[in-house]
Amino acid sequence: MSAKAEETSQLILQSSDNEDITVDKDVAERSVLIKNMVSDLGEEAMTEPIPIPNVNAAVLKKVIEWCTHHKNDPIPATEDDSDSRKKTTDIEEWDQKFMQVDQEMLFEIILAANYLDIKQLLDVGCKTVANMIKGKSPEEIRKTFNIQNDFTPEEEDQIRRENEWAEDR
Amino acid sequence: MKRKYLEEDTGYDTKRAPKKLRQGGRIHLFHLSDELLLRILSHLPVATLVKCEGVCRKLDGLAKDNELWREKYYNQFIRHRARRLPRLQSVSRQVQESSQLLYSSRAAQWLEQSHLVRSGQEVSWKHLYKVKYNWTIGRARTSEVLVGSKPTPAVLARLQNGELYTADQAHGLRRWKNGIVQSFCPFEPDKEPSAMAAEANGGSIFVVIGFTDGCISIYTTTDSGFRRLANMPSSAGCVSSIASAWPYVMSMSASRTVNLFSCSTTTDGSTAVIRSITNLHTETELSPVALSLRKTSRTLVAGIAYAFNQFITGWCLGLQEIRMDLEGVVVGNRTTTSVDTPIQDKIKLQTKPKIISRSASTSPFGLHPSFARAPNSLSYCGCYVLAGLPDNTLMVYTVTSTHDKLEINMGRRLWGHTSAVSAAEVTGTGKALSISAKGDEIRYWELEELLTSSSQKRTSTRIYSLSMLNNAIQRRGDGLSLALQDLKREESHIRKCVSFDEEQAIVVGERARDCPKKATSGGGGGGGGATCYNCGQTGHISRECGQEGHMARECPSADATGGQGPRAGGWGSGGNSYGGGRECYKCGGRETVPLLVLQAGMVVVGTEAAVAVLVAKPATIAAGLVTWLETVIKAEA
Repeated sequence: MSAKAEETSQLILQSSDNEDITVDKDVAERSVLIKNMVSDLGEEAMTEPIPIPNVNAAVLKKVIEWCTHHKNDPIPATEDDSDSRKKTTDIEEWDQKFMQVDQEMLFEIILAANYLDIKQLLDVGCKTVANMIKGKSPEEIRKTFNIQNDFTPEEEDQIRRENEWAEDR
Repeated sequence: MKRKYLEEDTGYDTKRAPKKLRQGGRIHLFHLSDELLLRILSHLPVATLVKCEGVCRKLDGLAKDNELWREKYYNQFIRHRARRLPRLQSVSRQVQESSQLLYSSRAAQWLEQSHLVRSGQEVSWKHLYKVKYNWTIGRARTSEVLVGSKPTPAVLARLQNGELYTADQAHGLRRWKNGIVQSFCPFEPDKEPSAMAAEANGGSIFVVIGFTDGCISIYTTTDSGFRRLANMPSSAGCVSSIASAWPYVMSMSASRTVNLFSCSTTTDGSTAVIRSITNLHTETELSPVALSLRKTSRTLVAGIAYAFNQFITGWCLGLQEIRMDLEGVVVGNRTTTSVDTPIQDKIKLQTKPKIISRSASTSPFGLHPSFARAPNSLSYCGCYVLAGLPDNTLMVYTVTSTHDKLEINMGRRLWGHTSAVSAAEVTGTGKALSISAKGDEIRYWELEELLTSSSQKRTSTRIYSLSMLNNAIQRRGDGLSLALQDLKREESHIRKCVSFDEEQAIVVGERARDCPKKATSGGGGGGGGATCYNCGQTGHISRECGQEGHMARECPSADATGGQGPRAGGWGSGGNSYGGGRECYKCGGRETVPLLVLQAGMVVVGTEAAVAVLVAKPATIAAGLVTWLETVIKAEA
């Protein structure tokens, strides 16, 4: 581990609000985007800050926190995302706690994970949102996410009737 | 660093605070792209997914996404089967390397369901999911259609392309859609149909009907109705069974003759010429018989499955297979018989010398206790033979048909029914539907799953009708216990399972109508002080109500007081068949009314996925299936 730590070099990431954040290279490379950038830039990447224009510092730090915790996880070999979907909404405990943030932050993490191409974090985020929806009625879902109901009562009723078959399990 | 971060970003609550509701926050759920929203939705169980449709238009559109439902369908119904097939990996090793059993839109292995994916048309996966789901939990919607009012000879019915075709002496050939007759074509007087087959071919439907006088007629649908393409009189006697693989028709007649015909339509398509290819004769009474005609690109395989009584072993299952090329000429010259020599003595089949004729029977030991009595029905399709037995069980066999041998194996008894099984039908993909003699139980079986796994939690699904109960409750209002009795009684005379496809099954039945006069004369019924809620009088209950001019459950007074919503028609939704001025069935004396029951919400069946089965099948267990398919493939090669 110590030998590895010596080898570990660091990168500087520049957030959208121009904050420089220093991070271990292997942590940052959980992001496919950063990994590709580093290999494109070569030596330059080690000294110059890498701009991450779509992510602000707060979110970026949160993402780095996740990457640091998961840096030793095996990276799924294929792009095939089905593996993680197998157990639809199971999230490991640490991730659950990590995702206990307000909705805005949660969506920002999802957007950042999508932009930075960190598939596992994206999945954790999506699952978290799915868990917030799960088992709720349409009205409850609207309340949770502050969504306007643009259906007429008749349309709503029709949709409900169309889907009665799926209700009892 | 951590501290700095907290100080700077007061807007974010990065501590482990509970989720809180933010009204009008800067970032809303819908700031996420549709792609991300779909990703979120894909993690939802179906029950919640359909709830999302009701949230708003945007989510409605997303939650109906076809690809999303396709994935749900795969994960729910296909993947678990893949996992159970132990030899799958060795069959398709390359694919296996990349975790092939998990869903991915391109490489998903659809096993034998590949016909769902293959057909180039637009598929509504949500609809397929719904149908399949209803099917697996045995939930169906039932509607009944009156097809004849007086006791008539049996009504024949076939389901084809979602439409129903019936044939009976009184009304001729009729095509139904949603319980309404679309078109009809009367038969000649005194012609009574006795067997029927329907087939879709090249956009038209061909209906082949055999009559009691031995005649065989072929009809096709036109824009305006039916057209009779051909009529072939015969002296062979009552046609008892027909199978078709257009342009070939096979019929079995009461004089124990199997006839094989080919039909060729004239250039304008208005008439057809029937040409006899061959006929076979047996000296033993074969009953019941199931015919199967398979056509590949080069060969025609005619299968005849029959039950016969053997002196030593009792009832056995026999199978004969005739192979010829499409001209009706011999493909080879070989006869094989499996296991038991006594069969040959028992059944003498006089074949024309050059026809390949093979027959096989089940081993008497394996079979022995199974057919104590003659089976009530036989169904033969693909590699399955299914027999419905009077001892409350079914027997299923698989047929191995290769170039070298013809064998019946894997006799397996299926339990589930609580009364004698009167009819059962199987499809080429191993879906089966059976109905008990008293008609109170319809069961659905997935034979392929049953035969490939030794331990099964559940062997079959009983089909419950949702609407049947609802209608009864509606009709009866608060008299629920009566309604349930009523329901039971009404269902209790359904007899025969006839035909089923992806979404529907039809059952032809007869129902005896009770006469209330008999009931009242029988000692005042059950309730001394009961009040009839039809007419409000005391002393009898509505079932015994003597008012005429309406059927008891259509009683207008009940309608007025009860207000239980629309009472469309009498039984089920077959209202259009009931005329206005019918007499109350309570007083109408006893008559037998043939009925049809349509069950919706059934399974997807089809035979065209046969080749896919070959890959998916564990060779050890289902050798029969594999070899049968090999035969098919070889024949085509």
